[in-house]
Order: sequence, then C-alpha cells, then structure tokens
Amino acid sequence: MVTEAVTYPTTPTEAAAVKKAGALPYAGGTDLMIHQAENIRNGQCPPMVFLGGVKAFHGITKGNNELRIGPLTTMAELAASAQIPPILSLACNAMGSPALRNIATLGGNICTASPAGDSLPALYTLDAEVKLVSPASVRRMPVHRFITGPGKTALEPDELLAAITIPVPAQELFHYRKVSPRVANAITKVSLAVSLAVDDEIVRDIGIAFGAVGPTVIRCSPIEDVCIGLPLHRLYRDRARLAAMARDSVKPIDDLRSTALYREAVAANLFAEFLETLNHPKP
Amino acid sequence: MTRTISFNLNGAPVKADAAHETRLVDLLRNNFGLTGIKEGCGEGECGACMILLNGFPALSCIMAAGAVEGQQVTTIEGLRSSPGFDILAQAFNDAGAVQCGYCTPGMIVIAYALLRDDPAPDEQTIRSAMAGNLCRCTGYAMIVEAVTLAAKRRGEAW
Repeated sequence: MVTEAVTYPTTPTEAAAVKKAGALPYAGGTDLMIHQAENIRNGQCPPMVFLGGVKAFHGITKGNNELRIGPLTTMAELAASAQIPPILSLACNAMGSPALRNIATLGGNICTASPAGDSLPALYTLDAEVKLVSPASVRRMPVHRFITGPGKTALEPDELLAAITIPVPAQELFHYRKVSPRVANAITKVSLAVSLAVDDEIVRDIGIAFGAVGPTVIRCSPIEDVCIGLPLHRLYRDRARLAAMARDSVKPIDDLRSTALYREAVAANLFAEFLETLNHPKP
Repeated sequence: MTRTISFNLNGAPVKADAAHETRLVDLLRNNFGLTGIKEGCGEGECGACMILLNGFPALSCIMAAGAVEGQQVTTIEGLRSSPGFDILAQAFNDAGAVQCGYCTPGMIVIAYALLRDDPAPDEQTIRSAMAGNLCRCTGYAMIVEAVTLAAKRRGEAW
C-alpha cells in the first residue's frame, strides 16, 4: 500500500521502494498523463510517486571519465546546456514544443522507450549508460541494452532510472537530422544521429544510429566498422555504397505516420546527406 | 483518494483537495474557477491549456495536480494585473489576432513569457516560441503581427 507520506520521496532508494509498492513514477508526466487519461477519468489510476523532490535526480555534473545527467533534467535544460555533447542538445530541442520541453524529462524519454524517442539515437552514438537503483541494489548497463523493445525496458518493478552517463571526452563532430511533417509536436518518421571523432582527417571513432526505423533505435555497427580508420574523403567517395548499407540496416514498418518504403529511402538519403558534408569538412 | 495539495497560485499560497493524479487543467478550472485556461486537445499538442510553472510555459492538460505541490503556478488570470498583459491584449486587438478566441489565453501566456525573456524577438523567434500553440481561425499571421506589435510597445512593461 502506498501511503501519503511517500508520495514525495527525497532519495532514490525511497522513491524505488514506493514504485515497488505499486506507484507510478511521475517524472515530467507528459507521456504518463496521456497513457493514464482514461484511468484518471474513471478514478482507476494507480497512486503516483512524484520524483521531482529527489535532489539526486536533477542536474548535470562532469566527472573525470564521464558526464552524469540526472533523469529529471528537462529537455529544455538539455537543449540549452553547454555541458553536454551538442548532438544531445540538438536532439532534445527537436522534441515536442517549447512548453512540452519545459516539463518533459530525459529519464522519461528513455523509460518510455518509444522507437521514435528523440533523445535515443544521440544517446546510442555517445555510448551512454544508465544507472538503475532499487531499494537494495545499483546496476549499470548501456542504454541499447536497457531498451529491449517498443515501450519495453530492462527496468525491474523495484527499480528506477537514477542517472544517465556519457563517457568523456565524447566525440567532437556531430550530425543530427530529424524528419517529421512539421517543426513542432511531430513524432519522428526517421532520424539520424552521427557522432564522430577524427584524427588528421582519419576516422578514429564513429557512432551511427537511426531512430523510428525499427522496434528500437538501430545502431549501425557494420557501417561504423567499415568507416573506422578511413580518411573522411574515402567516406565521401564511397557514399553511395555506405548509404546502401544504411538502407539495408534499417527495419521500418508501415504505420499511420509513414510507410516502410519511405522510411527506408529517407534513411539512406539522410546518411548520404551526412556523407556529403564530409566533402568540405569544417575545421 | 483525495489529498491536500499546497502551491502558489497567481502569487498567493493556496490549498486544494483533490486526487494527486487529477489533471492540472481540471484542478485549476474546477477547484479554482480559472476558466481562462482551455482544454483543446488534452494531449499537450495545442497549447490552449498553457500556464507558467515557476515562470516557464507548461501544459496543464498533461500535468498532474500532485506535481505542483510547493511550486508556483501562474495562469492568464494571474497576468491580468500586469502592464505586459495590457500591452499584449491591446496588440492582439489591434492586429485582429483574435477570432473565436479559444487559443488566445494560451497564446497570450506564451507571448508574455517570450517578451519577458526576449525584448525584441524577430518573426522566426516568435514563430518558434509559439510553435506549440495551435489556432484554427486566424492562420497565425495576425498573431505573429500582434506579438511583434506588443514587442514594439513593450516599454518598461517587463
């Protein structure tokens, strides 16, 4: 039974204990309130546990080896932050509308685990990890292992997402593009995130991830393996072949927002568009 | 289960008895009679339910009442006594930016926050700031014109 006293927990383990007792974790509420709308109307909504009072869930801190982002950091805070890799700012700024970004949180975007979740491709390319706490344990895993399917995560009933970590230094070059029918409040049809590290025009490290073209974000490891060690002009020269690989790596579906055929073609075009930019790499 | 939720509403401390999961738009309209806030889509897409949460634009149809415990909520009613509101209302009037009026409170609330933070926004900035506010009557041109006009007349209002 969830009691009044713990509707507003102040520590991660206290919050996890209330979730274990059956309460719905409330971060920004922007997805939760829509999912629960009918239950709320009918008086059937389970109790909520409001996470905003947990100080450890807020803020961005930089350690020696990693950047730590509290799960209740809002999309607006991330969009405006100079502390995080720019690709994550761009992705968070592409979600929803200004007022939505003021309340929606990174932790909510991750735990909702939508194939179209706008922060996710960027997090995949940055090799982000999640830290999970329960009343009795703490564990970490890569975000790509945490998200197991559409709306599905590895979160146990007594666990909460307690932090998102990004290794530092991160890559230095980024490319992000979201395709959707309008600028605001549009769910992504296809998105591409690329994070790149380059030494003397040679690709040292690259992360390539597509959003909304599979049950989860698709990270293109085979293309990354081909690219690493090559000079940028070779990526540009081989752009047709690499774009065809991108086309083969996505697994889109037909739904009310788009068709598999369109998404496949656009995914390939987005990747080709990125490779085009390498013809004149910015200093 | 009904609980007591305490927060600051339009500058005054208030308490409300409601279930925590009550939508904030319903709490504000039903418990406090603040009917300037409208429900349009009920899914955070249209901006008719716009409020300021601790000064920042937020969507009250996808927020739970329990989430504002200890926070500051400002509605269109709370802006009425401010000089900025008068300038915005006059500008919306002069530019013909109001037709059916349903979206107008949300438009005014977000425009109020925009002009507070940016004294001279260009057209693109205004359109970006208001991208989450839908109007099905005016076609937006007159609304953007109204906010531009209000920015020109803003003086020391913010």
